[in-house]
Amino acid sequence: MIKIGTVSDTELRERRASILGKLNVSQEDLRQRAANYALVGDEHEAWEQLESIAFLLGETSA
Amino acid sequence: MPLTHDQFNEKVTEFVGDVASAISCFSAQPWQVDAELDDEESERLRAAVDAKVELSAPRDSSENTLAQLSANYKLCVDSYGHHLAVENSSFTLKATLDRAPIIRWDYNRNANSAPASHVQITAHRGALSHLLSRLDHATPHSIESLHIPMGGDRFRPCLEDIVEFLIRDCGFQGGENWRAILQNGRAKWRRIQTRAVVRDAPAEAASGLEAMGYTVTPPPDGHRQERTDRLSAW
Repeated sequence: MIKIGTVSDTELRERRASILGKLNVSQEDLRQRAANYALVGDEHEAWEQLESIAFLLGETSA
Repeated sequence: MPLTHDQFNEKVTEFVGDVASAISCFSAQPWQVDAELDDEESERLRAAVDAKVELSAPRDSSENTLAQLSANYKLCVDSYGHHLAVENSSFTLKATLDRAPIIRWDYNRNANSAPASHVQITAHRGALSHLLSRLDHATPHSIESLHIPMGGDRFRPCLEDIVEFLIRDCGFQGGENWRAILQNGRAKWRRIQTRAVVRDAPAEAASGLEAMGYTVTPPPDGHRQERTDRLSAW
């Protein structure tokens, strides 16, 4: 199945907050653990989503 | 002329179709491709494409999955503003059991320390850890921290290569006509990359064509300069 859609900056920021809220973790903490190859389970997918959100927002990295 | 939002979105839609063709090559496996683009209010021309396919052993039902292949692309426009460019791509094979990467094939157009295109493997090999330890490597027991080079910007593997590796080498079941679909997709990818390589080294391309009997006329102000940054990048 293919889904293609546009997304606003506001929606992206809300989604970022929701992802971090579900994991109960700060973005900085997740970034550190990604850099140290210490992510576990669902954190891998969450980190990938945060990187995509940062890219769409025009940020250098998540 | 630089790409407009509409032209960029059209190119992304075509790109998504190519990704879907490649990942639907596994037999009877559920797959999904999601693409999100910055809306018209944004000045940015960017898109994120996220494709996933669940993988199971040929003897198992499609509900009994062993692994997942994901392909994540971050798309923008190239430095000329005329073509769709991949800023970053990541093809990841994850085990269903722990949802952690086993193999990652990554590409990062603006890589700093790691090679632009590289593969990372989560594995254990005592001899390699011993060797890294003797070399005072920072993480000798994390083989996944090694970024094994994979051909740079232009000669890196495409998604079709990874799908074929999983079918032919690993034993996941290919769907109907998978070989022809992957061959067509790979040929399309390599034609696109050929054009990009020509832009990197136009004089070399002209020389190659002339050796084949073509007559090549450079622009009035001479050949465009080689992009040595691209040719020499790790």
